[in-house]
Amino acid sequence: MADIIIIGNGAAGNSAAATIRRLEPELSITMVSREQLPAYSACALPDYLSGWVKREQVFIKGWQDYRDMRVEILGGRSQVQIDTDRRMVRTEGETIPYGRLVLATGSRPFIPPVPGAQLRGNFSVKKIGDIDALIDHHSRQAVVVGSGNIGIELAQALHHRGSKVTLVEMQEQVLPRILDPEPAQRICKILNAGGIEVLTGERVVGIDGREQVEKAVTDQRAIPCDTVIWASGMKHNVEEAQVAGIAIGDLGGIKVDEHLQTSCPGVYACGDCIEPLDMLTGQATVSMLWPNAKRQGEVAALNCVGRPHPYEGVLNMVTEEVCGVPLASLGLTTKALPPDRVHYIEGETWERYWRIMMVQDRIMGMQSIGVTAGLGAVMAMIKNRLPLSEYKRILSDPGLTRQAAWLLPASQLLTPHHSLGERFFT
Amino acid sequence: MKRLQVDFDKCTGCGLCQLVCAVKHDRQFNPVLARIKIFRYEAQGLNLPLICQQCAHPPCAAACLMNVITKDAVTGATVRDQENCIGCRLCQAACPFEGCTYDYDQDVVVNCDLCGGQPACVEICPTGALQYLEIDLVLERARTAEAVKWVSLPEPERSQHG
Repeated sequence: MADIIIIGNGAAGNSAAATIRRLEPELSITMVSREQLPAYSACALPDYLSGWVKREQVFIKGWQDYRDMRVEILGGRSQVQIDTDRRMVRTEGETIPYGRLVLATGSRPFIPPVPGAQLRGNFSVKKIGDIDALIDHHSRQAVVVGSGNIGIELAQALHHRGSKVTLVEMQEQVLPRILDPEPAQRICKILNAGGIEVLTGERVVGIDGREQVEKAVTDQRAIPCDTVIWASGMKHNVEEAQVAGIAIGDLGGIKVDEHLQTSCPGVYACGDCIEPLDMLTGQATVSMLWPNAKRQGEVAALNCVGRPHPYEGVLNMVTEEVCGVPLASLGLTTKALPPDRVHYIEGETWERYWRIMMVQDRIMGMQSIGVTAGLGAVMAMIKNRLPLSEYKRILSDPGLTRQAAWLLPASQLLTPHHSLGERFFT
Repeated sequence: MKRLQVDFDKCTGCGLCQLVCAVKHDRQFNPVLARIKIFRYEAQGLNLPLICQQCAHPPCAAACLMNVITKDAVTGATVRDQENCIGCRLCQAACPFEGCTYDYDQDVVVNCDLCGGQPACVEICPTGALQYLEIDLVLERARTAEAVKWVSLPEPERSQHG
């Protein structure tokens, strides 16, 4: 018998465990993990591939940490069955009754069903084992399919390892989920200058080769390569929940209410496997980002130990280093906003480019390439729904300015600005 | 528990704190590496030294991809395990106070470590804009300043001879 069972040993699962332990020292916690490894950060995997961090640095916990936290961890369990009626979890020969259940099953890479995707040399990256295999593969020419964060980071890491890299994106721009076309164009140029070939608007239709990947065939050309990396999207891991009769939403994630409770009382869900509400639009969305997962784990834990706490919704926050240039995207992109009501504040100086998306008086998102000053203040304004008019009122009043002085670094960003100097990012 | 307190009105924007911070932590006279940053606003007549506020629930820690940011159990300071920082800069985007500095030498993000209890910036600040005070005193000062403003009483008289 465990008071709380957490299924999943990722960002959300561990944040839930830590929160429960902090609030309720007496409750027994059991964690069921698919891998026989302590928790590691999937976000650091491209850095491990590039050689920037060592393998052991990817791990954020050791086995001793679980013992210290008094979390019993059952590793290497790929089969998990949930019986919500009798409140039991069955996993490989063990049946454990639970008081409350937290699902943090995460997500997995989605590989489109194209011919040849099972050949040797095809990879997708989510687990540390994927990177180990990729390093052993000694890629010389790689095709990265999909230009999301993972795609961009892996392309750079492989390029850093000495491989020739081609990035193929189905949509007309790179980073389609976090950038507008105009900033994406700039990122594309930076990638090209960094030695990575980028093909947008192309769909990979098949992989050619006898035993091993030899060519990636798109709808426009064939690219010779020995490695294909599928970074074309992630899929919610909802099978266990689905079998148990827990409701799944329209976007494919576990449906949760504002307290992150699933359709089944006593079962909470957090992390990549759910479809949470967006903080800015109030609509269900897919957001598989580490900070959101951590926060959801915390909220699910609070609710699960009987301290009702509504979840405020996801707010996207992505930072990326593209060939040495920092890139940040906060909040929503234009695509997610009503097209007739959105307007921009855009600016460029010699050291940065930025674009702020506004709907009426409210900041809904920001994209920035180059120096990062002021990002935090804009982030705070997005979070606190501070209208631009109110911000201007604060700035025009010296007394108020001193009280909210930390908002000042955003002031340059919120005024349209174009320098006449040399363009740094061309 | 002591914290850095900044009095914007006393700051002249001289930048000595930045230099001494960079020298102390990175052995370079390079203000870019300093963990305290002065933003200068001529229109508002304001020099704004921004620094890690050592928040009780730091947004940087909530954002960290590697869980390297924690609260020190004794001092309550926000501390980083720099060995394992991957320099993703997410904490910079999450911090409203510009409290995170990217260290271009080590490619990690750093924040104010209060110099282990003897902040060099406070020692060098020529105008007393930076002070290192007990946390309840910081709150007390803020409260007094706020109260004085609202009641619109004249400020307490200062002695002529300092």
